[in-house]
Amino acid sequence: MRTRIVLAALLISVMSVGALAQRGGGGRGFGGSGGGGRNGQGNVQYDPGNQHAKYDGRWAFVRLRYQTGFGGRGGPQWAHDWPDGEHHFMQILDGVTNLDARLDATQIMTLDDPELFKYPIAYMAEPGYWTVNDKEAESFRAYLTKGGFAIFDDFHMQDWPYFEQAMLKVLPNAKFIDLTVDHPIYHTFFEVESFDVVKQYYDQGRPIFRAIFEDNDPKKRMLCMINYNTDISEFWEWSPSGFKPISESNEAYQIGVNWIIYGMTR
Amino acid sequence: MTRSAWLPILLAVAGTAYAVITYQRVSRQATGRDRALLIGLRILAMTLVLFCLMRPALILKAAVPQQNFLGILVDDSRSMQIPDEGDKPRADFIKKNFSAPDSPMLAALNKRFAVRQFKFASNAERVANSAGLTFDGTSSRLGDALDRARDELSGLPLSGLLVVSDGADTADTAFEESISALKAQGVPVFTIGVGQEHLAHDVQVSRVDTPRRVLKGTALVVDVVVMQTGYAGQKVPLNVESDGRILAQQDIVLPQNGESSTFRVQFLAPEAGLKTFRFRIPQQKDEQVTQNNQRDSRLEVYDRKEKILYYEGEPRFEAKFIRQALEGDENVQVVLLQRTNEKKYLRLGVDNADELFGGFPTTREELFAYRSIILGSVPASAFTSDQLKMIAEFVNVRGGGLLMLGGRKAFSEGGWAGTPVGEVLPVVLTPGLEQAAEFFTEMSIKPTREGLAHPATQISDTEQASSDRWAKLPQLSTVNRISKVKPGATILLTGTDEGRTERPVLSYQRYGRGKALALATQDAWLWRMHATMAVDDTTHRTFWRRLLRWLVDDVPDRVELSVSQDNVEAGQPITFVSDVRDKEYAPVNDAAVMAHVTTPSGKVEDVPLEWSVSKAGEYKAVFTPAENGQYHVRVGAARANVDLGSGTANVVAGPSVSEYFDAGMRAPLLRRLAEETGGRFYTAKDTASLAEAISYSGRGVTVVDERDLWDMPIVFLLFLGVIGTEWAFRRAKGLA
Repeated sequence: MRTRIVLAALLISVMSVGALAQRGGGGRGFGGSGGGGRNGQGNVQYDPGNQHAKYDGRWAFVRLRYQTGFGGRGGPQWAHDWPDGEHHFMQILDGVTNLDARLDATQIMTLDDPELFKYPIAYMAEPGYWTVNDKEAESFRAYLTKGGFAIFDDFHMQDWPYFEQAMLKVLPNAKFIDLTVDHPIYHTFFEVESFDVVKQYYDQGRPIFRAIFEDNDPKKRMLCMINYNTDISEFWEWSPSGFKPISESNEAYQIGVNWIIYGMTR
Repeated sequence: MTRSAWLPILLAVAGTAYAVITYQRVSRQATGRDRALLIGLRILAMTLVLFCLMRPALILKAAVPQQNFLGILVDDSRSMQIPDEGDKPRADFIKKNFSAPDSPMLAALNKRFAVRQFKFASNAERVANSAGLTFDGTSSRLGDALDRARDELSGLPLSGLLVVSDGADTADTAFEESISALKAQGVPVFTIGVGQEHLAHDVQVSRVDTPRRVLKGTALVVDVVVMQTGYAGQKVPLNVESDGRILAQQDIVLPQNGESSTFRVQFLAPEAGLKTFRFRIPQQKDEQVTQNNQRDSRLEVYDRKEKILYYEGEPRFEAKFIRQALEGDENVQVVLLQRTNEKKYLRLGVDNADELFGGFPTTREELFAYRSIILGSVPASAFTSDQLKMIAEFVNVRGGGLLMLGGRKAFSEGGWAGTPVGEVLPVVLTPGLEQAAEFFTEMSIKPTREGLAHPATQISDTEQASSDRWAKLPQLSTVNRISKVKPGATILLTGTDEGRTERPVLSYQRYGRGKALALATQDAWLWRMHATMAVDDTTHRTFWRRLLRWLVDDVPDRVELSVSQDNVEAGQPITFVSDVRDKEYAPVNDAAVMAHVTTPSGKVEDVPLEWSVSKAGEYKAVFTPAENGQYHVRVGAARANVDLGSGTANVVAGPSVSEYFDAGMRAPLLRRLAEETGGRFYTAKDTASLAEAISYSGRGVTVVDERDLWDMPIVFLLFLGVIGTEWAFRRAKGLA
């Protein structure tokens, strides 16, 4: 209960920081993230390129970059919700856990970037637009097999076949297994009792949570967390705007914190 | 001074004065040196005359023929079959000289003494002669044999004892007491050393150091001491075998003649049970002794899950990848207690819902149930002062292993300097760094000389392969300013940082009953994840499995049992020693401790152990195996009907092969035995004066044998020589 109160307080503080940023007509995410300016509506105006902060042993939020055309909101699909999504999320993560993660920088890396291996948790947005070449597939396969953990988020119902095609190029034998709420990833830090708490941001239907496991065995390590037909990071990005009730943003943050703690330990 | 002494002195002075005066008056042509020479010769001539006038005589005590006894102790052990006495077995000397009454040496001794022969190996017994000796005794207990002969011949006029042996005494006790008893009774011991002191061609596996027990699946790194003569510089294979299989093979280069070298071999202990591991070098060309080319070592490979408590102060990848490395390991269980925020814990790998529910243990009983502790990036301030003390006692008193990992909240940066745990750690900590500016450096890591062949850090089958593998590993980073280790600590891994400074990376020290390790890096997981590491590379897994197995290795239970010797001959007593502790590992002195011994024939014998009084918690009992085979010993301890635990040990009784080790004739031992008792040492080639020397030992029934010294021809010849020289010199100088 106490953690929830702390989380709500942090959420309010994130909201005020976000509101200030919006009044300023955009502004950058946070130090070191550099790159793309915003139009005040959360849309990326141009490709921010790769971003590397020098490795210092701490984990930093890594957004995976892939080849694609511009998305529907003015920027490449992989950059949707960047940088506010991770900025807000990392503040929450720092506030509620004692994870010593980097707050001064996030990373943007391609799937075949050797530096990616120094950050065993990575995030990909709009995987329905994801295309992967052989080199990327091989490198990302090694990343996941050795111990990397990837989170796929923000994709729509009709995008599944495209994602599946790309994912099977990386892990040809992968099976996509629907998760139930009793999976440890929903109880690693926060107790998520039901998927009903996860609301849609703008799509129809219920979110579907799937995963790929080592040896396709749900008892083993999870390699990929797939948030299908939902967009958790959208809540993160827009939590200061007040567009959605605090409780819904709260659940989205809880789920995100659980991903990271899970990826750090399993 | 007696009157008899004055006379010769007076005469000597007078004679000297006469000589001086005589030559003082000689012609002035003579130089001072000539005069001195002449005076000297004159004095010498007069001294010889004086010597004869005194009629000196040598008085000897000679044994009366056939009135005295002589005990002959003949070595009947297997080492006497070694063919190094002129290419013939050592035993041939005995067969030739002592097997029949007309054998040369026995005949010579029989003329002077009443001879009583004994043969000895494990035991000593009377024999008529050496004809029936089989030379197959599995040990030589020289001290016992001397005692037996002395006892049997006590009360008889004894001229001495004669020991015919290669000196290969294999008893585990020194025979000082036997020597003292012989000295007290005035019995001289004459010794004949049979065989060569140094074998011309021999390879010997002198010693193998293995632990008494080991956790199943552990990679053992064992020191094997090899000695040789005749094959210096040759490359030979050193095999480790068990149950007929070769577990490891390593080529070694043999050391210089007579020198020992230590080689380290690595092999896995794959199956549980009492296992015999044989360390063997194949027979070489012309080798004289082949039985010493191998050593057997028995150790118990035990199969159970050793629990390690890993307390990580923050979510980080080191925890994930250590867990991953130990996944599927049936013998090491890492229980992760991860602090995810100030008052929240994530527990993974626990046995039940209650385990560590309240966070880090607050009682010794709870903490001491683990075999080892890993402390991750967690500040000292996260613990109460009693918890800090408990962690130190975990190492010092309980005998557990402690490993601290690098991190922003570890070591000096975590405020551990000046705490009881800081005392235990092998690295030097600096106070006041908790608030210091952050430090970060990447390091290239390599093993030290010690680390190359250490069970924790030898990550390949051989030292060379391990060295090559270390050289290819990616850099790791540290955020801890560690530059020195404590005196007595050992560094296994070092790192060269960005400023080219060498830093200790992995070090350890023994502390009390346990050991403490420090691993300064924060991201050993890069040895798994790094882009340059192949997907199927097992270095990270091997490193952690070996390190953690070594961490839990040799951690004592509450009841421990050891035996004084685990390989004995039937009839040879051994001592059971048990260490008994309570749940907090405090020594218990009022326990009922009983050993249940299962004999090779399946009988169970109960042997009570008594508190030794000299040491807290220590209980002892003596047991003598009666039959050959394997004995299983299980000791149980209880106090006030409350079970304290149990410990096990194994003993194998059977013929020993120790006769064949260090198989050269041991002249120093035989010489010491002879010299300390007033006898004399002979080699087999030089025994001509033996019988006479024993006769004149002065022991037993003797007669005085007076021999005049003054009428020996040599005295007369010497006198003529001196007088003649004086005369010839005077002639030459024109003084005559």
